[in-house]
Amino acid sequence: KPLFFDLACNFVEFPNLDDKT
Amino acid sequence: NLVQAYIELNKYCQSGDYDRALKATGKVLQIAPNEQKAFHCKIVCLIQLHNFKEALAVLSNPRNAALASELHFEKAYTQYRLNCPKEALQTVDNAPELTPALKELRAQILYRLEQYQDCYNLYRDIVKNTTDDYEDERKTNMSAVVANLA
Ligand SMILES: [K+]
Repeated sequence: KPLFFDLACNFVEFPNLDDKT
Repeated sequence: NLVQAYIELNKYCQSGDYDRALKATGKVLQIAPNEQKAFHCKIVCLIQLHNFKEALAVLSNPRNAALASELHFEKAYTQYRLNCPKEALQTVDNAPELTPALKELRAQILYRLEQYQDCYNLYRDIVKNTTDDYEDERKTNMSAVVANLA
């Protein structure tokens, strides 16, 4: 079975909270 | 107050302490239940903690419809991780815009659905238009698609 990476996981990111702090 | 709760949340988000960040989202949402950014952080925490079932349940709860309305990528990603590629593809294609994150995920979903030609075409498009840290891994994925096409 060929190697296949989950790259989408790298796009799971916290939103910028600068405007809230 | 709300700003203090967000400062605490921000601290744990930045240090990648997902357990404490998750608790901090609870504090924010207790003070202000309609805070979209805290809700978004909650979903990110659940995903990073690999609690995909809970993440999808929270995103799909009708009571959270307004809070979840923009989190197309996160919802599709949880469906993908829960081995529901058909539902994941539907979520991706219902999004108002195919962002780079949704495109990347769509390619992975098509691979899981064994739609290798569509998957290959999408990866070609992504590679042509993307410069990031994942180019080598993406080429590995394309090789896997090609191996399945042959
Ligand atoms: K990650």
